[in-house]
Amino acid sequence: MKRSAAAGLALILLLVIGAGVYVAAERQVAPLPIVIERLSSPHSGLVLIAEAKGYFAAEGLQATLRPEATGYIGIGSVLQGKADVAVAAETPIAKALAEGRSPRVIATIFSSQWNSGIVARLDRGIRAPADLKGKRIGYIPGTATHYMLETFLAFNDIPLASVQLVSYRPDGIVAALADGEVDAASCWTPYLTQMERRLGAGGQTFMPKDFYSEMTNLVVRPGFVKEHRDTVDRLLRALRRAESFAAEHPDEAIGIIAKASGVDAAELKGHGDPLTYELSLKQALLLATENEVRWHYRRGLVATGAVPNVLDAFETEPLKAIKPSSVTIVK
Amino acid sequence: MRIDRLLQGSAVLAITSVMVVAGSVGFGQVLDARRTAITQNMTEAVRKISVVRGSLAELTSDDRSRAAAQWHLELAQLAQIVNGLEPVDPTTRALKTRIVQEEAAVGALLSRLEASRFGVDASMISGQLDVRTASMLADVLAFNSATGSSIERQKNWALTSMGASILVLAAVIVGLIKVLQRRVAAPIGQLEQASALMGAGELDQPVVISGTEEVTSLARSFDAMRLALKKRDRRRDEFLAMLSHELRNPLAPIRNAVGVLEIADPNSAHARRAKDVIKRQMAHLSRIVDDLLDVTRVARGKIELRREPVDLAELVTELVDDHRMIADEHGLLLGMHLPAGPVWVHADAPRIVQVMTNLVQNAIRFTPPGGNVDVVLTTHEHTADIRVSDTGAGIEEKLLHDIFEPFTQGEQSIARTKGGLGLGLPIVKGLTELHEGTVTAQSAGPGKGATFSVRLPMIAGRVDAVASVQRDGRQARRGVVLIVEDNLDAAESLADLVSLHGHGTDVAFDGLTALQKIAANQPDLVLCDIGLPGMDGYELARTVRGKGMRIPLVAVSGYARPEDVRKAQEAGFDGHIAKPPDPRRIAQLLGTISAGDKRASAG
Repeated sequence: MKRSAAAGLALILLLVIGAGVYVAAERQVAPLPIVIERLSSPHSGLVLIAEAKGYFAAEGLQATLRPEATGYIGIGSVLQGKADVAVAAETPIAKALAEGRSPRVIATIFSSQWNSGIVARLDRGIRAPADLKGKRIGYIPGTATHYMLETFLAFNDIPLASVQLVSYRPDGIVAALADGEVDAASCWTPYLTQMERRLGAGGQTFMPKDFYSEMTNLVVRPGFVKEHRDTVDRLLRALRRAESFAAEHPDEAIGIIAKASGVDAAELKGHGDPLTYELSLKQALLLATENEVRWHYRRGLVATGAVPNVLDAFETEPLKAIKPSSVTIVK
Repeated sequence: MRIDRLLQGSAVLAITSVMVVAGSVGFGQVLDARRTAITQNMTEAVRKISVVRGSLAELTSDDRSRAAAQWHLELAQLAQIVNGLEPVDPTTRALKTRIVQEEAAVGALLSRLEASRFGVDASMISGQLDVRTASMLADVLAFNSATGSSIERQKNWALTSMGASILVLAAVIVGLIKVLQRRVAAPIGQLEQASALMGAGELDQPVVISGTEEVTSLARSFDAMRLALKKRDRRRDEFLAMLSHELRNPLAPIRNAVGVLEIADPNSAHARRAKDVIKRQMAHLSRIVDDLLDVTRVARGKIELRREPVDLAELVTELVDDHRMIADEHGLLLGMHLPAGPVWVHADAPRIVQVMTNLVQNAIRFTPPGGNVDVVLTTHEHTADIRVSDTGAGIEEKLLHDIFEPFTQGEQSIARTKGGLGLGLPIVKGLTELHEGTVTAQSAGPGKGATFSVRLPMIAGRVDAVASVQRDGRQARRGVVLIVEDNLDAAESLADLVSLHGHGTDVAFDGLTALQKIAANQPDLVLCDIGLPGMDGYELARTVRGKGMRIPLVAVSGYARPEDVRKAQEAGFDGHIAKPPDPRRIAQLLGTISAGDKRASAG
């Protein structure tokens, strides 16, 4: 009697252990796949940390990380179904919305007023912002630095008509400035630092920190959140861990980001703001996106169409579930 | 567990708890005030940011001077509020940094907008203002929320501390009450019951009570007291049994002897033997009663020594000589070892004799025939040591500690062949100590003999003493002794005794007659009973002394307590002899007549 009871107990124990091993193995063997297009720059800081620290895998994601040239290209990949998530500033999101496309924003992962700027050549007589009047200025269209450049000009009372804007691709703008094709160029880190290095003492950088702050966000295609809520949740949880890591180990976090962005860690740290790598969805982002949608129409950068409901571009539920205090967009 | 430590610990805990509670309440109030102030500031900040946002449309219009004045004022006040923000943690510190930056950015953008001549796209600036003010608003709200949460956490912590302290306080009070109930009140109740039982004479129930260290210790002392009482009780019972036995023993031969005297010819050998029997047994009875009185007086410190230089060597010699015959009768060898010269001590000779007699008689009594009894006198630097050792019954080790306590004796059979009341050694101890001496007992165990040592301080230097000569009364001159006694037998027997010492006797049966005879005959000594018809002994003495007569008066009385002796002295008696009078004491007293000393002396 006793022997059969013991045998029964052993069997139950084996079944329980077996089931546990199976579940664990299932979870380990079949993580949820996700394709993320990210910028190799500080904008993607949290993604870079999560990647380096293995938080995606830890949250059960099989993440494929691909570099993208610009946020706007990334949004294109997402909307075409080539990637699941793109990293993009509010300007390319506004552009896509103005174009009548439907990018969906699930979180802001970066905000800074130190990350982009305008580098000018001193040999072209540019020492103060007002000296830009009448000059050739390089820019990358459809990016935040494009919007930033025009805001900068407006702030410094320089009419657009008084300057000549020359568009470039990210991989060409550094050489264009260095070679003197343009007198100044607007760009983001790491190209910004590359331009500064190339010009050395012959360069002058203007930062828009007094009036401009860019926000970098995660973009998915419409319906993705609904169809892949679990994947989105895991993604946000992994980034939340990255956010905590950045807060608790700022030096190590900067090291990871600097290495992945090809910039100097000390420089990155010097411009550091504790809230740079903050996971959020703020009303300010909504307002900025609306402003920039209008800017695209106003400037004729896209063909005027039906004004989109920008609020629809924000999927607040997943982040609200993970970090309620960070969501101030009212839907 | 000690109750004083428990109380100290509890007091410290209670005071700490009360202090924590008071501190928590105070801290909570401070936090509330801080929260209110922060909320007010934040509300004000939000209102100002809203006003700035509200004036944005107006600022882009042509007539914007009023709006510009308004936001200058609002921004200046906002800057003050922002500067006054107190971050509570790293998050709020970061938020404040960003709010300050945003405020600066808003200021710069507004200034730019105000100065703009609209040669550029003003909506670029106002759009940024819209975004930055919204961002600042969110950060101000986040700062408020984070500060509120932090204060709430601190308040919760204070409340938790307060709750914990109240719990600790309650636990201390309840615990203290429980401990006091269980470890103090309950054991004291048990002790009370035990005490009541002991009061009722129940001494067999052990007092085993556990409580705090103090209570347990008290209970142990209580039990020790119970055991001591029980021991004393047992000793008293044994003593009373022994006393009745010892008193009864002489009565039987006396009764027999009286029977013989009633029928035998007074001059016959039977009558003589009967008289001898009565004499011996009377002496025995007297000794028992004397011992009883002595032990009481020793215990109460009522013995007054008449100390004088005494040669112990001579005293020991006499004592051993006196006992040689008895030793022979017991088949014992009585040995004596003395130093070469005299050994002088300052002592009451009869008392020292009493001490040594007790020891020697004990040795003889407890040593079987064929054994040895040795009396050895030695001297040390300042002391004389008299050792009485025997090869007799010995003493059990457990009895050695108590042997000088009254009523202590070794185990004896029902027959009590050794006899005695167990008072001898207590008397020895008491008397020795009265002489500033010590007495010790040693024995290797039952059947291995015993040694008693009496150590007395010696007199420094040589003393020329007349010593024991006076103890011999045979040189007495003949005198007249008046015996005042209302009991005919007692009067006549005492008169016979006195006359046997060669003195003339006269008898008076009451006080008045005695007074007349004293006045008429001027006797050399008056032996006077106290309880007399008409004028009692005290009154007689007072009257005699009142008339200035110096006749030696000695009270012979059954009232032999120290206070009786003192009373007799106060009435005018020169001495006091307890009834029945010891013939030796009478002889000693009569000896004083010979010295021509009109003041008789008696113990």
